[in-house]
Amino acid sequence: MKSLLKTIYLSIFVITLFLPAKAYPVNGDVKTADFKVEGVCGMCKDRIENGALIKGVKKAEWNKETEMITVIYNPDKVELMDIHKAIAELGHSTDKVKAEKTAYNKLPACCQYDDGAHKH
Amino acid sequence: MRLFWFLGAFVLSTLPLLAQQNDYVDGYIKGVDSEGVELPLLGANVYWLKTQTGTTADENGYFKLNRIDGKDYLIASFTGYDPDTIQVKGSGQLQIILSGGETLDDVEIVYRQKSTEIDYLDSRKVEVVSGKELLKAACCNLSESFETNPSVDVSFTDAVTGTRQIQMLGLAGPNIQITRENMPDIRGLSSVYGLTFIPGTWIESIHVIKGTGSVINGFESIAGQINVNLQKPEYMDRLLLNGYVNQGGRFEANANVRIDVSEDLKSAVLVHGSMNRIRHDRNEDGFMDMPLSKQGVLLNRWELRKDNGLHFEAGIKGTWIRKTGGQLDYDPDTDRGTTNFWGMDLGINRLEGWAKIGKVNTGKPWQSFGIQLSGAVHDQESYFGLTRYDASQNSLYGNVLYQSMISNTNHKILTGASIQYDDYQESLGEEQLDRQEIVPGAFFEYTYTHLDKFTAVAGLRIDHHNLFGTFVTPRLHIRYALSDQDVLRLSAGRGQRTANIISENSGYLSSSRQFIIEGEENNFPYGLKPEIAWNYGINFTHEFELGYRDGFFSFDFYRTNFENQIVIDLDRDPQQVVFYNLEEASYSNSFQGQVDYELVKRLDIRLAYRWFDVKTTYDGDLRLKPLLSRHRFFINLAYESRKYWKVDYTMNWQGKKRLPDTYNNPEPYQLSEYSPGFPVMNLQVSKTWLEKLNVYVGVENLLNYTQKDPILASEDPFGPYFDSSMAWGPIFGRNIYAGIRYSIK
Repeated sequence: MKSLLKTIYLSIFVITLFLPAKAYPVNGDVKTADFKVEGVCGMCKDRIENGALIKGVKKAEWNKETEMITVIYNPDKVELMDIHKAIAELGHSTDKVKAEKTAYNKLPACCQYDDGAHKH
Repeated sequence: MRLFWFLGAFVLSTLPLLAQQNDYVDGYIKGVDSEGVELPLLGANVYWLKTQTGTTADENGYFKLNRIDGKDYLIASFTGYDPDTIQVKGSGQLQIILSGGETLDDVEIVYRQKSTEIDYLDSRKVEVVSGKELLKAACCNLSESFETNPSVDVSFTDAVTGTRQIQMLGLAGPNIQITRENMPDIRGLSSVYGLTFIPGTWIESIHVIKGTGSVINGFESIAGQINVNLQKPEYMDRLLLNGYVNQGGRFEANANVRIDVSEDLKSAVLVHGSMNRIRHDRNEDGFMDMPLSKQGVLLNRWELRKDNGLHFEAGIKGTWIRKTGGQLDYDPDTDRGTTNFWGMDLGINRLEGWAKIGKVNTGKPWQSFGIQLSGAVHDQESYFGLTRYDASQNSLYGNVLYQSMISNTNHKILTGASIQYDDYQESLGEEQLDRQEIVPGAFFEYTYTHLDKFTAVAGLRIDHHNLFGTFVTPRLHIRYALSDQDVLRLSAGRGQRTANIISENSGYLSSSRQFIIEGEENNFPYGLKPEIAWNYGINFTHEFELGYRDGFFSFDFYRTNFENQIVIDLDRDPQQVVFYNLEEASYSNSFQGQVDYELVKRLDIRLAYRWFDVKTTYDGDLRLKPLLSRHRFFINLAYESRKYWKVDYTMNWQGKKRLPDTYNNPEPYQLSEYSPGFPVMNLQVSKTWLEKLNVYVGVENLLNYTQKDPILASEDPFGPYFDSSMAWGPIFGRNIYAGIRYSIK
């Protein structure tokens, strides 16, 4: 029993030593950008991140509190403006592209950030 | 002991150096109470986002914290307030004002997160199975909600009743404490069937915790705790309609409706109906592969939340179940209690109600007070062949809790008292087995927190059982974050429960096995002692990001040692199931390793392996627990397109299982020593339109793997060798299903 626990503990320790905390590849082709996207809730977060993850975008993370999105993308494959457009298409205005009224109206009532839906 | 020194040295060696020579940020943290008065928050935590570097505020709410390169976001948090994220710009003093107030029942909004998560900060390893995860396996109730969770094993109790039982750490379901929003729910007589009383669409999330839980929730958890959060009026959709049908002829319909009475007062009505009216016998053994069934469940709940910190919840739930199984032509009206045909029929009526009151002291939001009350009336009537089994249980539960802190929120205390009352009446054949259990108790729990780095929760409870006397339940949970990505957790504790041997083992009633209870001459339930076990666990979770995609892996090891157990002996005689107090050793060792990763963009993979070593002393011999596989492999692949197409694939491979000794039977009725290992694959495709309408189609058991001849002596069900309880694999085979869901947010 004791030796088993020790073995487990040791193997955990060894594994942690070898794991990089963050394995970002050093890649000059990749750019990071931050911009604002309007939204109010966890559902908005899902929708915004899903919208941003078009071809060429590697990662998209939106913060509900700050309403800022961080996108990591490959500028050879996608233009930053296309990411703005893709998000706005789903009804969420960004600081460069305003969402069309028709797209905005498709949002569930609890996500309609311009009509009194509060952060929740 | 050496191990602890070893660990201690390791912990110290990895403590980070908090001092850095950079410039700093400083400021004040204040809270706003319900009258809008600002007050300094002594002991509030401030730290840099995604780091362990932080500090606490002094009595004026003042803090000073060194800057870290590349970190601009501060998190400020204090118990009773909503945490806030602040972007640090320039060099002025910060004024951070926290607002909001949470109550005791730690409301967690897990709606639409990653499908399974492990909370980085929790002192226990809590696997949160979210509503999103539940959609991966579209059917139908709590017992079927663990298809994509490698920590919980699901198997059939027998080949007649179609009852699924769950196991954790290789221990049967009743060893798991199943709670509904942290109040006792599925226990006693309902501990096996009760999983079907909770329809899938009613579940908001499930928390799965291995090892002993918190003392606040009682002394009963031995293998783990499963906490089910139902749809709450505050967060649920305004309307959800769901319909489901499968190849086996099962129909289900669900409706969830939210009613907003006023800004403060909200209500929800949840309705479920299902039926199965088609008799199937694919394996041609003369028995229905699945029983016919009708089921209705209705729930109404209310929630009142006032600005002055008062929170009130109440609910009522009614369950009605009828099941008929057995030989194909069995008709309960003409054949019950006769030898015309062997049949099983079962009726359960259950009514339960609960209430919760919580009050946060708005002036001192770390102080709160709560009361939980619940009651249930459970009534079961059933026939298994010629055996009649009737049982009823009336239960009452009360729990009073008070939470506060000592000097600052790094030292939290929670204390209270509880009472559990159960009145059982059971009759099996001619035998009448009644009992009453009354257990008052008191508990105390202390939580020490050091930033995000270290948490220790030490709990103790003392209970007095009217039959078993006074006993003490200590429990300890420790969490240490080795880094921002690595968490190590330890847990230890004691659990005790009264085994309801007949209802928990009612699968064996679908056989000619005679129930033999080798109790002692005392006033204990069935003349048997309580089950008492000690559980120790260690687990480790590492989160990583690779190629801009997140993942984590985790290992855990748990050991459960039984001081006493009610041994269920199927080996002594194939015509008997014998219950007796444990005489020597009984233990369970369990190991699990799991990796979750977004393999390529939008495609998630979960791989898991788990290993059990579960042994009990049967008549002096230490042997493997029967009908339990030692090895299990698990793969889940989940793909979601940008246009909300979803594909889910799950593969479960279970290793061989030991089968109970049958060498005393005549040759045709002897089983091999082990069952074969087998895989089960499930596949589901779904598409969502406008975030409102969802249609899904799937296949369970894609490979159509079934256990051949799951019923021993099926041609002679009233003879001595009939046994349908040796079920180790799927009975029905491939099953195609389809469903539709419509929701309004």
